[in-house]
Amino acid sequence: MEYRLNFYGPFEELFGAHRTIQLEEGIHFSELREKLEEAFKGLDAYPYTLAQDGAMKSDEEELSTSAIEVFPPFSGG
Amino acid sequence: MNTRYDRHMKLKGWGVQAQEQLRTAHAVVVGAGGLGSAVLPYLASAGVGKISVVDYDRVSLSNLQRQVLYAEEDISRLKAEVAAEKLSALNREIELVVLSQVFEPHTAENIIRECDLVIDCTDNFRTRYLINDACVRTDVPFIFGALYTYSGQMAVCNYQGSATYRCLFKEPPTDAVIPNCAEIGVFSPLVALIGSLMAAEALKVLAGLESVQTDRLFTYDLLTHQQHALAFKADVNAIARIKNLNRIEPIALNDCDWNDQALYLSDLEELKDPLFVDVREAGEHPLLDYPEVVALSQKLPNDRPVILFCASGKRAHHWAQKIEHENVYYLKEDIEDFIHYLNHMKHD
Repeated sequence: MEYRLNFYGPFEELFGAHRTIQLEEGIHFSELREKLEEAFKGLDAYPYTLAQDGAMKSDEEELSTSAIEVFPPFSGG
Repeated sequence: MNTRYDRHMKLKGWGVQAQEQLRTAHAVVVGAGGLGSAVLPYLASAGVGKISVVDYDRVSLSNLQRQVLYAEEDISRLKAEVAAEKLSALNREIELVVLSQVFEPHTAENIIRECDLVIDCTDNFRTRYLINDACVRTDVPFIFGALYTYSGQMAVCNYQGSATYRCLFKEPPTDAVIPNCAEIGVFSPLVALIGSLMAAEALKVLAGLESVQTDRLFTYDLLTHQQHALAFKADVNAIARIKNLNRIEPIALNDCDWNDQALYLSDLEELKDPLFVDVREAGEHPLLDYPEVVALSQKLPNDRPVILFCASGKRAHHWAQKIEHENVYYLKEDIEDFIHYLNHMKHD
């Protein structure tokens, strides 16, 4: 199925604010990371955290059908 | 109690006990730049009894666009000192501790050990992860805020067993991939917004209110006003790993194969008789006239560590890979910060 991806901060400039990706339903977030890093060149150089349905997700959790949010850390202060 | 805190005292859920708790509280604010300027006045005016301000930097002209605690006459003065003066004028009933120093691994735990809350207003990952680790090891809660152009992040961490910064972002990134405000700019009202969110949570923690927002990352984009409140969980393994270290470790940034040549201002104290080499174009401003600074065209001595610098660290990094010298490094700092460092050395 087609998932909507929302990128934030520097990712927005690198990959665009909104993109889509084709994924099998029910995969885990660890697999999602691999797919994202294959699809978006340079993403693996960054630490990032993935969220869905208003919560950060760990690698062993399963994807729902909602949009996926990709957050990098910020350093400025 | 006088009328100074009347408008807080009248709030439902506040009262004498909360105000008294603030009076006896000690907050350590690391970084008196943009976020620090926004957070500190609210802590002082609300009556936080003791505030320690940690910042080695000096006020510069480019700070004044967003660091509203400072004025033109403060340029070149130490931020922690100026901040303490301004806050003292705002509230003479509180104690202010000036710590004009780099927040470093060997002093971090001593600085925060006796405090009730650390507020992370820093602008770099090295200090952000150090604050996380020091607070986890000493069981002190902390609040972090961070900015990227028009967007900001904020969370309360390590409060009564809540999640920490490493539960969100396990390891630090390379500074090369996530630029800071000096490189990409920052929208000044964002500093006030994220700083206010941090101050609100800080006062709630210090006053003992029950509504402290833990285990959530708050994000805000001032271009679109899009915001998130994302739940995240404590990673018990990440927390245990830091707690079980024999001593706090310097934060190594994942700077790939050239990390060993990169230096920060905080690293310079460890070098004996360093020579600074300006790799910028001839005549590039600001011009630096210091005995320990030479141009790239000069012959470099082999018996001294050589530290290359430029405006941002990028050209210095490039030259560090090309120059044949046994002891060559490059400074990964903004030139304004480097000038402040040199001036500081001169005064000492």
